[in-house]
Amino acid sequence: MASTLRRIPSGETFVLAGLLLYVVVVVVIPLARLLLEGLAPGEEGQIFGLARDTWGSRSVGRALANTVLIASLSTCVSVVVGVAFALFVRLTDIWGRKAIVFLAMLPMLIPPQISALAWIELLGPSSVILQLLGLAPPPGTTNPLYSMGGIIWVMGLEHAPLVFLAVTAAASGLSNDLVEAARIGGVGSWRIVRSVVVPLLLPAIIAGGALAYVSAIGNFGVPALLGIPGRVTVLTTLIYQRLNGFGPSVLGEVAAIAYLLVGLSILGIVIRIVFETRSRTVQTRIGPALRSFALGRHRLTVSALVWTATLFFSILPLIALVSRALVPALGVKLSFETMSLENFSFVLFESAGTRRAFANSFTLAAAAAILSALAAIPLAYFSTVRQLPVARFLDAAADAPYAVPGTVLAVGIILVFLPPLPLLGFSLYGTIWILLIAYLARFLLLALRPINAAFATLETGLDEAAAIAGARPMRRLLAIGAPLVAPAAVAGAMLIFMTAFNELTLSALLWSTGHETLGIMVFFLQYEGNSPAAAALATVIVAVTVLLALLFELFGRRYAPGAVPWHVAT
Amino acid sequence: MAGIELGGVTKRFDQKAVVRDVDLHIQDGEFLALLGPSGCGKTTLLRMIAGLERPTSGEIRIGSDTVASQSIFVPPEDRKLGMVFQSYALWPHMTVFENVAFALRVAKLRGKALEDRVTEVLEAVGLAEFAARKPAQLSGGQRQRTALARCLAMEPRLILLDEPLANLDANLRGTMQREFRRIHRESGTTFVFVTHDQHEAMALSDRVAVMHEGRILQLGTPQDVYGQPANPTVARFVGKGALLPVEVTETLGQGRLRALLSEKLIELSGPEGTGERTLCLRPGDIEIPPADTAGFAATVMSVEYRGGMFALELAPDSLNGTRLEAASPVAYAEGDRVDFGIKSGWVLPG
Ligand SMILES: Nc1ncnc2c1ncn2[C@@H]1O[C@H](COP(=O)(O)OP(=O)(O)OP(=O)(O)O)[C@@H](O)[C@H]1O
Ligand SMILES: [Mg+2]
Repeated sequence: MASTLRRIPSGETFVLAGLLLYVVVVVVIPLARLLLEGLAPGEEGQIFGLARDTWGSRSVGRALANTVLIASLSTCVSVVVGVAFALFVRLTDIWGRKAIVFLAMLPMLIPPQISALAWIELLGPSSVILQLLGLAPPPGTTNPLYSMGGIIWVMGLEHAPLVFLAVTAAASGLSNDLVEAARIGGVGSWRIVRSVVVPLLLPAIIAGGALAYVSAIGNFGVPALLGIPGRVTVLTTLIYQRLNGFGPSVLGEVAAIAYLLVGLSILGIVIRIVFETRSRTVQTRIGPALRSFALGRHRLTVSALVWTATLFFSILPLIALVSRALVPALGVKLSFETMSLENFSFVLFESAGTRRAFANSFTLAAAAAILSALAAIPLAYFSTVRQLPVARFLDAAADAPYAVPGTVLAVGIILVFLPPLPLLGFSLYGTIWILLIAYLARFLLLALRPINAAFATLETGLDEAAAIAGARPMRRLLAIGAPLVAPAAVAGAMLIFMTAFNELTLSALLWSTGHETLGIMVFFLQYEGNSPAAAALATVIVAVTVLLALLFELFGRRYAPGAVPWHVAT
Repeated sequence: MAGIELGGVTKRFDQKAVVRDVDLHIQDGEFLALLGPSGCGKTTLLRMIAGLERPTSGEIRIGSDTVASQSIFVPPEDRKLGMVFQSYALWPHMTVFENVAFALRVAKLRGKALEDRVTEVLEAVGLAEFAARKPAQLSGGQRQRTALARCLAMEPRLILLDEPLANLDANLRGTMQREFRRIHRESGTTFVFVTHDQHEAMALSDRVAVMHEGRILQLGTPQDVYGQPANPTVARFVGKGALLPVEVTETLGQGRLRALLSEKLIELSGPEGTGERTLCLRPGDIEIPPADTAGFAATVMSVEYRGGMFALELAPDSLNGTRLEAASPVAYAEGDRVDFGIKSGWVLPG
């Protein structure tokens, strides 16, 4: 039993090497390359000259100021809306709380560019709903959303569910004893909420707000649809416009702009981590969960108000979107006589472009989902169960491409994959492969997280018993680990599919003719002025997404509890 | 079938020594119990033998193979041993049959040979009719048997058991103890059995190793460990011995000693040597009333009925502060005065 000699490369070593290659190529090199690129000397060779020149330019300065302002104010919108909904749902006995939760989470499922589109249709001069109410702006006026205020509003609502989730999760960790103690002390309900519950939830509110802020910094879909026509440029759209206008020659400059995005996000990420930890320390629930306060005679009024807000935020924009999709052509008024499905038949059957986009997005999303889940299973096993240092490093590295804005990742990927590949001699830029690489980098984490959690809850003895039975690590993974975490892997893959199917930020920088994705297609149809077709395509995407979400919900509830990110305890 | 040899085995977790310099020789085919209070390092020692932890220093040999030393570490999958976990660690997605068959499949056994072997083992533990069940559909005792069958399937040279009975009720524990003895007898395999229950250790094992704070304090047959504890800690832990200072006055040969206890001469046993020593008294060493007139007077502090006899707590007048436990067939009341004699007792070495 000369075991020291028996250390020839085993299956474990090969798989680990494969994972190392995967994560290093799609994650580590692009992000590292981006960091180096921005550090390049300026034209006269000054240290970090390029970055300093870029940051000094007026357009970058304006985009930076806009980004900070929009992110901060939209975070305020998210916090106000998210906290208000969370408190009403968790603390009062308004009617239909389950339904409100579902509707309040809806904006999170709908990709930002589609939310923006829906709000454009709701508040623009041709809005069917405003026309019905006689409130529509006169034809020809610019849409009020094509402005900084519009971006702040739509982005704020888009990210409100993040705050809502953080606060409801923290509230379920609070014990009802806290409230009862105050009540016995003779404190009134309103006072309890203000001086007991809200202060305890404050860390969670800040953590949720920080998450909304980070998402706002990196958001591309909303400023692309609202800010470009409204001439409000933020950093993400500035990078897009520069690369679109000047091509790869401005990569260095664009990398320097990406630095700013990274810097702004890191600030938010740090705040989030600090307050999430703090929030966890108050959630030491023993005893019964927080009970809701009876609204008594105000129940009807408050319920009506909350329901109106919910419908306004979550449903009306979608109705506006669908009704625009039913209008046969621009300028035609919607009525039962004019209503038609022409736009749907156009995007689903006639237009070669959208059909190709369906095929591309489907293939890319499916490939990204399956490959990420397949890589995440051994990676999570090696890092969580075997605790191999290399695997733990790779596991941590997989966080980065999801934490930084998508635009940043896309720039890094262009930097690495634009030049011809070493040895092979051809470039992946302009092919569909570069999109797949970007998706694999960005979404690996979404599979890794639930699988890691599943491994962490498995008893360590299960793997040890298999080792004692003589099985080597790969055999143990295949026979014991993988079957037991399979539901979590499926949940992760479904989540990736849903997210990648709608993806816009990465595709906007990496697409090429013939390799359009659905996100890009909606964006272009709208730009070409074919907003009925854009609305029809968006409607189809929303329907598919909601269907996938329901499937995921059913699956998750049954097989992988905890993997569904929008689950809220009511 | 294999003996185990541990030499100077130490394990530290973050500088904290959990197992300290353990030397232990376990004989081939022996049933050894590793007995000690919670947290003394029993599991850690067992896991080092299994290969689930690597010793910080020291050597472990199983049979003729060195499995752990400064330069060698054989992973558990190559040690060819069996282990029963306290939690059983049954694979929840596999049936009882598959749980038992797994190691055989890994060893490339296939087809009829595999089926026959699994069936044989399941029959040996009385689980043949449960082969198709998943662990979740089994009772605690059946899970325990499955875990045992799983490790018997490979006919390992050594079986390690980490408190395998801790999660069973008292009745089932008795049944399973007899099962373990039977299977040990029939298979002839070496068993190392971790427990913190001294009755279990005594009932099952050929020898008991008493562990405390990472060290092995005594290794011997159950009778040795109970009747002739090597030091005060073992005496206190095993069988609740009361410890008293005595003056040994005379060595009588053949392990007999004469000693002076509060001005009365009594006969005791223990290693040779006169002078101030420590006496370990067990309930069985005390007789009420005393056989001769030279008894000790005491007050009954408490009485507890233990089915067939009474356990008395005595406060002797002359041994200030000491409490002795004694057994009596007749009832006394708290506060009664009694006379008792010391018919035997073990004087600790040193
Ligand atoms: N992986 C580990 N890391 C750090 N400390 C550990 C680890 N495993 C065990 N210990 C510590 O080592 C000591 C001995 O643990 P061990 O599990 O061996 O005790 P034990 O005798 O089996 O106790 P019990 O009867 O409670 O099972 C304990 O203090 C424990 O906290
Ligand atoms: Mg233990």
